Amino acid sequence: MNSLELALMGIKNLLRRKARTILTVLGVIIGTASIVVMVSLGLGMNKAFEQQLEEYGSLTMIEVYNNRGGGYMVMSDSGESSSVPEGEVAFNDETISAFENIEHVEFALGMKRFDGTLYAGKLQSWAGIMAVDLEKFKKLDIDLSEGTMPSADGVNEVLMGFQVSQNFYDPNSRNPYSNQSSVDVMNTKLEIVPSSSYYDGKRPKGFVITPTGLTSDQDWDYAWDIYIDYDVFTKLKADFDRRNKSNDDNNNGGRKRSRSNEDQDKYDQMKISVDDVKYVQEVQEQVKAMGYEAYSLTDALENMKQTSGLIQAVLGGIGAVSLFVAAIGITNTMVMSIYERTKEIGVMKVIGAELKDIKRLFLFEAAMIGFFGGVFGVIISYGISFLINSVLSGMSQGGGYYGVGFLSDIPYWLALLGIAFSTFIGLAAGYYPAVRATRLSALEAIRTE
Amino acid sequence: MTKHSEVVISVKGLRKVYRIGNEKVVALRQIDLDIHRGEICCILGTSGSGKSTLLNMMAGLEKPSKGTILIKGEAIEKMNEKQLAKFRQRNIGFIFQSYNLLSALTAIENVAMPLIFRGMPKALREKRAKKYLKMVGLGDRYHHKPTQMSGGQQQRVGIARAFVGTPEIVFADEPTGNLDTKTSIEVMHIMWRMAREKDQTIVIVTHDPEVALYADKVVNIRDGDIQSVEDRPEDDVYEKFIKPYEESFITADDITEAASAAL
Repeated sequence: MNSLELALMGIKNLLRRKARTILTVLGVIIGTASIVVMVSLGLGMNKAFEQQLEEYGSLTMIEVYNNRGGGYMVMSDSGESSSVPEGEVAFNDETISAFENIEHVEFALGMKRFDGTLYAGKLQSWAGIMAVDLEKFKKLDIDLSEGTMPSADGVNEVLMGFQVSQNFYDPNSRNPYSNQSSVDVMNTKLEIVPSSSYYDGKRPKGFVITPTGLTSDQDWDYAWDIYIDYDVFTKLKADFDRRNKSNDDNNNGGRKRSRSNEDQDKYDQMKISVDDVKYVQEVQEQVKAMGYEAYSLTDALENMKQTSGLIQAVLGGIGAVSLFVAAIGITNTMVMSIYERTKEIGVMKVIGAELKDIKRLFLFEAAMIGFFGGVFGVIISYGISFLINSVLSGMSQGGGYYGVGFLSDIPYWLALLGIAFSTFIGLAAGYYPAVRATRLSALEAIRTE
Repeated sequence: MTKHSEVVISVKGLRKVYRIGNEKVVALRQIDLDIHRGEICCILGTSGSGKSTLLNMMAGLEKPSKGTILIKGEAIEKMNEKQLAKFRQRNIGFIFQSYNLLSALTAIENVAMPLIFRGMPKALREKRAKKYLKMVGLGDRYHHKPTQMSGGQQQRVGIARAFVGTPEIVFADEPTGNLDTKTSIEVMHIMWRMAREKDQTIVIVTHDPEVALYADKVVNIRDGDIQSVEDRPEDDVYEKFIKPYEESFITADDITEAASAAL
């Protein structure tokens, strides 16, 4: 018996008992839809996580800190102290070359942060000044809302973090800190004093900076500081320190110490760019092994993935229960069908049906129930997914920059998998009835009057 | 009769004992029987005589307790279910007392059923089914469902279904059991004609001595034993039953023929 004939016969048989077939298919529809929708929620969650992380910063970046900085040793995960003895881990250009020699590292960027005060007319603002190698800094994927990246050539060119521009206050007003105002930094004359010391009355003379660009308010990685070329800044800083020596007495001790370590501590923070997300953890481990503290967003991603994997499993499990119930429904329908068709099966056997014909016929009918349940289930899932996305994402509109456009995501592979899975469930549920049909005694069957 | 020289079914030392609870019921004691090619063999007996058991075992539907059944030289009691199904598909047709047509299917689909299992293409098997329906006189009932047909018509569809695959052997279990006398004669007549056409062997089980009149060989069976085997010359059956029956018919064609002859 060829497959086409078998399929036609099977479909005819299913149509003969429309009500029961439809009810059984309905069970599978509900089962498939619940699994697909549940999994789609998990997938949507994953996608949302990734989007969210990308807003925080690049996933291929590793942040490195010198664990010597605070004067304490960082314990490694195993609880043993790091193999590099205290004081021997340098954080200078050699370190950068060492990092750049690690496989999959694109480049390493050194940064040193200085405190500073920014003046715009009578307004002022605390600002962190990041001294960086601008050539490498340009390679970072930084979103700008206006302007361009600074260079070392112009007059003290800097990149402004967007938060810096919003935190100005008037020190002479009655309530200076509650009235923060933003300044159009791109078009205002800005002067910077590379010191956080409080100057009574007369402020020291700083130096004028030229902002060439402002970071985008979507990029929170570079929001809080002013970025300037390392060499340009150290020269400015040296000039300033010489001019204001008397005012800076209280900082002397500390500076002396840092001077003795100047070569060792050229930077206090580094960024390592890795060529692919999948190597980030590997590179991070190596950096840690060298005695540094290293963080990356993939740490968070791993955690989130684990969490969402668990949630997906739970959600999928809930869906699976309903598909399991549907599978029992299919088995029940097919067994009922055998009882009804006992005589028919017997007659077919006597007039020449082979056992495999009977088996395939029943398997096919069960698989068809699964298949159609799967197809309609997936269609309905898309509908539910659409509803969830339009209703729930509408509700979370005010949720700030977490506002993700979708909560449920059904990629095409999930749709296909849903149909394939429900068809398979149909087949599996039909197996027992099919075998039972083949075992039916032809003689008993034709005796049944 | 040289025509009947080849033995198609050979039953040797066949015994069947049913176990009902702790009791043994002997359905067949000791059966030895040869049926030749082209023979119309009637197994005649009252209910409970074991005649149906014998038929079921010859058709491979039941396993004997002892003895062997050779069909075309093959011992069918040794075959497993799978082999038996294949064997039946190729060599055996079956006519039931209660017709056992598939109620969802039309006459033509019912007749074509055995051909589906053989994997015959649709066009071919429909042509074949139509031919056989015509042969049993149902040329105008192709698309009727069993419920739309009389018992005699249903049984004729059953006969067409049994013969459509030109099996060597056709088993008939009380084929006239549910029919009135006139229809029974019609049905027996059709079976006789069909079998003769392709030299097929028919084994009929019945309790009706009138049915036995059409047989070349009558096997009387009682209490699980063969009482007597009666062979009849082939021509005898034809002269006595078939010819007079056919001559009693005057078809429309006959009238036109007669009319044109008269003019």
